Amino acid sequence: MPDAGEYRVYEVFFQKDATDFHTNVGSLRAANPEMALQMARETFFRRDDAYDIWVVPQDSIFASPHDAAHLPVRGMDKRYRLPSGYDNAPHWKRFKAQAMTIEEVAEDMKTRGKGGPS
Amino acid sequence: MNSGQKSEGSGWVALIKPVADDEWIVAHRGSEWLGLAPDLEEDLAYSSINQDEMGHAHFYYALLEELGDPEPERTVYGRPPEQWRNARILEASNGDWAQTVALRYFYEVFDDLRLEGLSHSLWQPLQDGIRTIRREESYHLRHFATWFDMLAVGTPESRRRLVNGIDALWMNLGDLFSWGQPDTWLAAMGLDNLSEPVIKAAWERRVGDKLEAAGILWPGPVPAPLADGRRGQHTQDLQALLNVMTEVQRTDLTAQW
Repeated sequence: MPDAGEYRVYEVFFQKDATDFHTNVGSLRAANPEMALQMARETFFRRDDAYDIWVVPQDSIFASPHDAAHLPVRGMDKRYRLPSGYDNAPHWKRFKAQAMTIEEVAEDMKTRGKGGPS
Repeated sequence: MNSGQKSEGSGWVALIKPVADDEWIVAHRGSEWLGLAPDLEEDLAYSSINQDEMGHAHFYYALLEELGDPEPERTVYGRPPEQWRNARILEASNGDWAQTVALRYFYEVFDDLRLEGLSHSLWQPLQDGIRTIRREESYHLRHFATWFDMLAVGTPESRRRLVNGIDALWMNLGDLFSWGQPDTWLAAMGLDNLSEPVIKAAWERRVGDKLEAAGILWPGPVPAPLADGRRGQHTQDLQALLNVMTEVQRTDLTAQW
């Protein structure tokens, strides 16, 4: 906590519409969370619409140090983890083209499976 | 408007002009804080709020133009003090920030009650505008209520300044509730909920609750005004404000801005 009488810094997050993630847009100083919310509105959204706004005290964020030991970086070859060997696209294409039910797709895959990969 | 409404035209003017002038003058005094608010964030917030109020005033002035008044620019820049209908407390030069917060909180509560009353008016363009205006005003009210609470419990200095601000304002709030004429015409328009005693009582209840919650002594009922801005009786401060406001425009009265 900062010294008494000093404003806290709040990070501001906003959601453009209900399906978006909250995105950080900046920070501001305010005496309390309600004021921070009102200031966020004026500082960042005077001309734009927002679906939802969060203000989070900056000192509540537990952040990683900026070094290789603490941050995920790609080291070893991990291609073996990727599902690139399975190609379902043709199945979905047929499914969409014929307007099949999901049960029909499953049946279709079973029968084609007998004759080997199509 | 149809002819039935037209005959009530002077009633609508008497109703809308004080509202328009209040919004314009409060916004002008508010704009004088630009660059001087207590912090950067409030500087943005307060100027934005005052721009909102100027927008509201413009909406009302445009309605007045429909009712036969000159165009908004002339109404704003061309009137001598005695033709303004704003409350006297709003034209007064600014006090410190705490007094400004107290004034704006008092005004926003009053404006909220007045808009509630106006929302029952039977003139569709006014009703439509008020619906939009109230969305912004409810936020203005919340903003100054938050500031009011914050100063009341912040530090001994913030509390002392807030109480001093309230004391400085209280005796001069009277004509806020006045319409500059007897209330009978409001009843004729079906708007007696806007009459001076009704609004004043509702305002004193709400502000009284706020002061009590903050532990600030109730100063007593707002005294009747000694002079009435709604009748064009203004202080020297309004002339000074108008001098500043029209300074650029007066350099060339024929210019197209």
